[in-house]
Order: sequence, then C-alpha cells, then structure tokens
Amino acid sequence: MKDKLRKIVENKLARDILAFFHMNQGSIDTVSGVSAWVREDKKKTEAVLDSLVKAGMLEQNSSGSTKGYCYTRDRKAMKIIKEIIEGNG
Amino acid sequence: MNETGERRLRELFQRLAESRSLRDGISAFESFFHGLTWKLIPPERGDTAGLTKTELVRLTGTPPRGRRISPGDTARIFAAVEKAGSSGKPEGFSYGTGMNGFCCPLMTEGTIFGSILLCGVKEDIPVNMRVLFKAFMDTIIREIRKEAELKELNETIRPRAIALSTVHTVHRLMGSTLDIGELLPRVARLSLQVLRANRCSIKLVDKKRKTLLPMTTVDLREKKAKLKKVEIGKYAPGRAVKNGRIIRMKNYLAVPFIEEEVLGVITLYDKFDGSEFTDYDAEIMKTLAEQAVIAIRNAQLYQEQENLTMASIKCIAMLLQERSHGVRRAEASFLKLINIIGRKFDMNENEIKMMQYAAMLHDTGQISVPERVLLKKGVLTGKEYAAVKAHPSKGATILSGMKPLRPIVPIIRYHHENYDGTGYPRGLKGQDIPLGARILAVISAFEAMITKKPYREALTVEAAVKEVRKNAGTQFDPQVVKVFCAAAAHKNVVKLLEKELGGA
Repeated sequence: MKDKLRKIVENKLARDILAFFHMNQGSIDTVSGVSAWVREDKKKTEAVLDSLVKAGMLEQNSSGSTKGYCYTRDRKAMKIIKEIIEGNG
Repeated sequence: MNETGERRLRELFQRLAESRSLRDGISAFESFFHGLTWKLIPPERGDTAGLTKTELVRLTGTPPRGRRISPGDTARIFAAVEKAGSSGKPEGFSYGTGMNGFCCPLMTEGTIFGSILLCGVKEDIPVNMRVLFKAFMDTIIREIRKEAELKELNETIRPRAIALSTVHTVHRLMGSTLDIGELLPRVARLSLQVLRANRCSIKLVDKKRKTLLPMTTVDLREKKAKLKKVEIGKYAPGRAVKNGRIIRMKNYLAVPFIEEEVLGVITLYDKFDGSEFTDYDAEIMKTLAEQAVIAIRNAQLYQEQENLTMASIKCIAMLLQERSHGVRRAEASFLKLINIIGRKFDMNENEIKMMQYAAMLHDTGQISVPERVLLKKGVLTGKEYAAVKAHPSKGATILSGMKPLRPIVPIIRYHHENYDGTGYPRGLKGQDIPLGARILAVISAFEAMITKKPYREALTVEAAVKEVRKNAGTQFDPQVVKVFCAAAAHKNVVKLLEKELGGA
C-alpha cells in the first residue's frame, strides 16, 4: 500500500489533495469544492480524486448527481498518509 | 489601547524583527553609510530606551573596543530616541569623535510601536536620507502588516469556509433522496464522517410522543448494532429530546431534531481518535441536524403523499373492479410480480412503483364502456367492440390530468398493443411499444385469465401461464414472457397467489 501511495503522491495535485483531507479530516466536499481548496482545474482534480478513492485513500459518497469526497477511515492508510505528508515516509 | 491592540503591535514588532526584507533594505543603506549598525527598540519607556550599556557600546562602535560611552553621548542618543518616539519623525544625533546616527520611529496607522536606532556612521547623514529611510520602514511595516492580516484571515476564515462547504455538500447528499429508509442511514454515515466518530444512532419520536423509536444505528467498528426503544427523558437521547437541547459529554453527543416540535434525536458516540466531543463538534452537528430535519420532513411528507396517492389509486381500482364484476384480484401478487419483473429489466424504484400504479389503473378507460358491454356474454357488435378498443386511450386521457401519474399514461395507452402489430389503439409493433406497456400487456392478460368473471370461469395459474407462453412473439414480447414465467414460478409469488386466489 505504501509503495502504491508513494507512486500516487509523486503527482503534486494528489499530494495537495491528500494534505487537504489530512488537515481537514471531517471535510466532505464535491469536485468543485476540492478543486477550489487546492486551486486546480476541476477535471484534473476529479481524475486525481477518483484515483485516490480507488487507492483507498479517500472515500466517496454519491447520491443522485452529487459526489462527495472525504478522508479515509482506514487507520493503516491514515498512518501512511501522515508519514508522507509530514515528510517522514 | 485595548489588550488585543497591544498584542497585535507586539506581534507586528516581532514579525518586523524577523523580517528578511528589513535586513535586505538595511544592507542597501550600508553601501551608502559604511559601518552602519542598527537595532530595533521595543516601545518600552525609561532612560535606557530598552538598551543595555553593552548594546549601546556595540551599536555606537565607540572606539577603542570596550571603552565606556560617555554619559553625554548616552544622553544625546536617548534624547533622540525619546524625541523620535514622541514626534513620529526620524531624529539624528552625533556622538564620540565625529560619529553620527539617527533614530527612526516604527509606526502603523499613526501609532508608534517602537523605533530603530542606527549608529556607527562617520559621514553626515542628510535629512533627506533619514526621510527616505523612514519611508522605507513604513513600506516594510505596511507589507508585514498586510501579510499578517492575510494570514490571520486565512486562519480564521478558511476552516469555517471548509466547514461551510462540507455542510453544503452534506445538504446536497441528504436532500437527494425522499426515501426515509435510505435517508436516515445516509444521515448517520455522513455525520460519522464529519465528526470522525465510530457510532451513530437516529431515533424518532413515536406518535404518542412517549417513546423514541430506533430508526438506524451505524457502528463502524463492526460491532453488532442494537436497535433499542428509549423512553423520552431517559438516557442522553431521551433527555436531549425532552429538553430540546444538545447533550455533550466526553464520548457522546446527542443532538435533537427540532422543527416546530422535537422530531427525534441523532446521537454520536466515541470519536475515531479517542478525543472528546467539542463545542465545535456540537455546533457543526447542530447545523447538520437542522438540515436533516428538513430532509426528514420532506421524506415524511413525500411518504404521506405517496400513501395518499396509493390509497386513491386503490380506491379507483376497487370502483373499476366493482363495475366489471370481477370477483377477486390478486393485488399483492401482481405488485410482487411487477417488482420482480421490473428489477429484471433494470427499472429503478420509481419506475417499478409507476408500473404498479399502471397495473392497478390499466382499465380506467373502461369507465367509458357501457356496463352491459362489459358484462355481455355473446359476441360484441362492431360499435361495442369499438367502445372496448377505445378504453386504453380514454384511460390515458383521464389519467393524464393527474400530474403524479403522467409517467404511466403511455403504459396505459399502449397496453393493448400486440407485439406483432395487431393490437390497438395504434397497431404499434415490437420495440416501438413502450417496455412498460409490453410488461403490462402480459400482466393484465394474466390477471384477466385468473379472475372469475360473470360470463366465464377463471383459469388456473398454470393454465394462464401456459396461455401467456403460447402467445409469446405474437401478442406478447417473448423476452417479457420469459421473465414473467420465471417470476410467476418464484416461490414468494406462488405463495401469494395461492393465498389470494385460494378461496376464489
């Protein structure tokens, strides 16, 4: 998991998104919201958000046309993200 | 000046002391005035102006090293510091043998919050250079202040903006369902996510307003969730409802759902990281609960409206049945059959519900067919047959006046079309007939065959299914027939049919 995540966070946007959710763990936000927080294009943000969901780093709540992304609850994943974000991993 | 103002000035002084721009700017001045030394002086008052004698000796560069600065020089320097601090203008001074310096006040919005003392210059320092230096300091201070304000704004506003965005997203996620059975677990899961808690339960007040009925419990630790009734006034959820107030303890938070009266309560237990629930958690949860109340009320009202619609439809269906003297309808069996068939055709809940409505109302148009024609045992005349053939269109016209039933209008209109194009009213063929109408054609024919009429006996279920199968590809869509036959053989449908038709 760590290697997989390390590869994902080579992408700066992925790192920024993970850092955002790590700092704001209770946040649930749409593609538009997250793209505003990380100051990036919506399409690029959505693609990275989906890859982070697939990698188990984020979770997705969907209802109708609304998709809300939020931080993982997996303790192991959270520990790895913390190490990477804080530069110890 | 109040405490906050003083704190801000102290912070501004500290930021200035750490500023890289200040050091770079003074370096530029050093190239004009060789040997320049400087020190920021905090806004303390008194003879020493916050300076120790050692610092003063170092700053003034009084030669030789270690020699004591004369009392006269010290007094002149302190006087310049004092004067700059009161006038708000840079003040020059001389000391030792031809050494020069000046003191420049540090100002922000007319308030002096310290000064900078510059010494150790052998050349004269012209007034315009002192004024220039003051302008430079004002610019640096303005920049640092703006930076600090932006940082403070960011620290204050950003978390709230993020929370607001979360609340907005949760609102959208909650509001997109009107099914209370789907809504409440969703509210629980979203609340768990926002508060990073492990367990959430939602209870609603019963009709007698004595008990809280357990609606959903989600426990992310995979503990078996127990659904327990709670008396209003007992335990945290009961007390929150009784008093209409949030109850916050270290490891739980109970927030009532309040509209005009208390509707229920949402209780969260055990933060994910083991920390305690905070005031901020309570504030966020209160906002989410307010949104949940709107979503719950909407879902309840929608359910009430659905119940009313269903009751009206049943009422109309009973009147129609009464008129055609049908003996018994296997209503629950047909609803179940439609449910199974609809799912096989990937219909959503709403589409299935509409199919069920259509099944109950498919003969609405018979209201326009004379009763003697409906009950006639012999062959129908051309006029009579024309009246019968008009009933799908008449039914569609009648039902199109009811907005909630508009989706079933095409189903009703075309349910007598035959797959091979020999049906009525338009002679549509194959896939041109709406799927709902193709399904209803099978269901309604099956229903007619197993229902006893005054002019003929009912067929057995097996015989009716055989008859349907026989007409696959001509009267009926073969794919629908295949799904129907499998559904009719489903053990739940068989049981229901036996139960409903048993006494017929």
